Amino acid sequence: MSLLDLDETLRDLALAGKIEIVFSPPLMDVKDPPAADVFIVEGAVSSEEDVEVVKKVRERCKILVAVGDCACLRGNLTMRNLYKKDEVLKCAYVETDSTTKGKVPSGKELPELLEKARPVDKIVKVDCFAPGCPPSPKVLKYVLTELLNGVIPTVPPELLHYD
Amino acid sequence: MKKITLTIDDKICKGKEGSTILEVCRANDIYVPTLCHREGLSNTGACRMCLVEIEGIASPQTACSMVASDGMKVKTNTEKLRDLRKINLELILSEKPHFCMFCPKSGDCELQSLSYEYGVDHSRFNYMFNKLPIDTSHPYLIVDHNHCILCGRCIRTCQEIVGNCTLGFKERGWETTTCADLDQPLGSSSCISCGACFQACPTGTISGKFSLFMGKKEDCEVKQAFCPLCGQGCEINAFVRGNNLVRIEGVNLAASDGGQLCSLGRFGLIAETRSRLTAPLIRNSRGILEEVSWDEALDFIAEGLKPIKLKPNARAVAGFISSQSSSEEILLFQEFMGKAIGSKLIDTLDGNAFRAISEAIMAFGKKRPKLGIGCKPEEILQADRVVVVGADPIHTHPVVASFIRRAVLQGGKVLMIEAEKDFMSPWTGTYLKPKRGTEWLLMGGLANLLSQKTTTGRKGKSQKIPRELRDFSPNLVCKNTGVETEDLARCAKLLTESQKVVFVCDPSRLNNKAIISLLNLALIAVGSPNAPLKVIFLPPQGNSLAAWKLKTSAAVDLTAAEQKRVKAAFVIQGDENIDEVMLDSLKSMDLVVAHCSYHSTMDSVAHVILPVPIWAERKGTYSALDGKMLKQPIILCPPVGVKDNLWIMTELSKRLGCELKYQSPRILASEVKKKLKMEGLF
Repeated sequence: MSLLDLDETLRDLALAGKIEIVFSPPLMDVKDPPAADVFIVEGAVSSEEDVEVVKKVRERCKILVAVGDCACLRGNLTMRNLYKKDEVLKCAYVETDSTTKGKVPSGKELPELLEKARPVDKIVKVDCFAPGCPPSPKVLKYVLTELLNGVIPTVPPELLHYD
Repeated sequence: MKKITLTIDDKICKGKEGSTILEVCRANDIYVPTLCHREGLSNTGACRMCLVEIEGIASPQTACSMVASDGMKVKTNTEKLRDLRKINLELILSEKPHFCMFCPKSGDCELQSLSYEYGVDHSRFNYMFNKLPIDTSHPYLIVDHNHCILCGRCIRTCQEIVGNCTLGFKERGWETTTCADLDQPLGSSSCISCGACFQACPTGTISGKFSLFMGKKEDCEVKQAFCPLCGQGCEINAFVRGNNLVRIEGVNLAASDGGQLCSLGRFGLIAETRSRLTAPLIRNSRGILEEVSWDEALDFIAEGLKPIKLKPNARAVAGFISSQSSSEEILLFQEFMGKAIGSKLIDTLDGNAFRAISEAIMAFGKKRPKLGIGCKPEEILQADRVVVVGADPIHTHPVVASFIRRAVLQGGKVLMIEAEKDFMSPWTGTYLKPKRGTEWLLMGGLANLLSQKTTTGRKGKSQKIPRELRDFSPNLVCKNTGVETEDLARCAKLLTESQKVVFVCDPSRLNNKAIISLLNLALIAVGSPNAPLKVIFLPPQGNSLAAWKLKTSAAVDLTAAEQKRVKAAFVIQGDENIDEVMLDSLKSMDLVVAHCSYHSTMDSVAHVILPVPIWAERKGTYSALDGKMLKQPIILCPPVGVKDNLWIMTELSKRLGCELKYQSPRILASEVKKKLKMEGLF
């Protein structure tokens, strides 16, 4: 949503042919992340599947940008770390008011939840961090502009925010 | 004070001998980041943010705790230091679950600001996720240990500024947290709810329930004002958002009271539970108060006064005004009662306290015409003995109580004289409990013993007991007060051994006889015949001093003496709550007009109630208990339907066929300034 908040900037960049989005689960139905110049990752690495995806992404891109508090620092998705993994699963699948005879799902196809949800830089190397909850359009604009100028950006103090 | 010279960041800087490096930096406008440092508190060097490099010393030192010496060469902003500070912040951020996105302090947080400043966009360390407790037991404060950086500012504030020593650390290493007393929930601890810790906390650990998510400081308008409640006159910053008072903070950290405020001023003024009056009310024929227009209300009052003959010396109408009103309102009321009503029967609602003091002072008359009662509350800090007579400062004048506690922490002792109970417990050293009404006798007994021993004994001459005190023989005193002779003798001895004695008394709990005794005792204790007496009278309301100085309080208790003749009364109640005794005396009158801000017990008695602004909605001048004049600005807009006293009394005067001298707030203000310029209390 912060990306969409860029409003005209996004359209201008797209129209100028400067940016081509090749993979985006919320926007398009491409399953496997292809090779790309820049990969923008948001959210904490929470399950084994996330670990796999993030490692794949790191291999296939030149610059990895972590966007949002969960990916950079500690965000909402890491709140479950305050509790043990089985407590969390039980709470979600068994103890909710609207569930009867709930059971924690398990199976070979199901990705295992990690003990703790981690920011991306604890799994793979991250080149640029853009924290925020959510990061403001200004931060994203700065990051995209710098990248288009061929620079790996560091968000300056005046644009940095965690909330 | 010797001057020293340092070279800081290649710049020549001057400082005072004995200053810390941080103090010299600040005096020379050089920025050094800090977290655990706070003006007015001792330095601990706990957070390590202020590390600076000093030539000749291998490792960086904390600027806040290292004393600067002449010739030192200091660097405050090298790459190594920036790196160290960044690592420090990353360590602090990874140690506890700091979730900025739902923290009430986000945007005002010192840890967050520093993290932004040093570009902390991730942490090289693994994050810890130990869930720490959140204490919501306190009526005003929430303590969320998950945000705590263990800077200790709350603990040092509670000890050094407030003197209450409630907060401390518990456990060690990872397990360290702050706690109250012996790890009690804050709500059931010795906490006095001043909130000074709340203001001192750099992160969202200690937050105020009434200010939660009500707006960051940058979203609010900040108005500099004064707390109107007890007479201490604490400076406040009032944070206003959309005409709501969101937060009140103390201002001057370097002042003797450290901007601590108290539970009444910081929280009581915001956590108001009484309901507001927004329209004039008249008691109808069924005895029920009903809303009417302003015209109807004012006409009704004018009509109601007609049968009560208003002559130049009308003795049938009395006027009472709250001493929490501004000096301008008080002066205006005097003019209104005198000119429009023609009555000289005017008194403040705390008139009894005034009479106790003034009658006592008059009794000294020829003996000591210039009584020179001069003592600022902060002088308590230099006392080695504080005599508290008939007062409960912890509840009524908390900042004065904090000075007393700090005096005790520095080795001073408290002597408490009070019939009900030991209000300063556990800070009291010696407690004398005379029977109610015999306080004057007890203090007379002390004065008798004292005059035998020293003040004169210091000069080597022995003096006979003054004639006035001869009747206060120890045996007589002890028989009638119920205090043991040994206790009396021991107290007298302790007083003679004291170098500096300060007296604190609450005139609203004592009568004039007790105050005469107190002043006698103070005279003897002070030693020299012309030195000003170290006596502090705790004013009942924020502007009592000005009210008394403006000669508003009557020489005689109006409710008792004039009860049969007074048929009508104006009560300018304002924000105050009215006491039972006053309420009772109003019940027999034919017409009671009350100017009130809130619904109160007056609702059951008054015939007409007129809604007036609260303290924050009116501009005015107040006199603090040390005589300082304070100018209160308007902080909030009053609700629609509320009118100020100047408008009401002007309109009423017109209906009564006369014009008041004071037509505008400006004229009133300058008149107040003139009248309050005179020296002395009485």
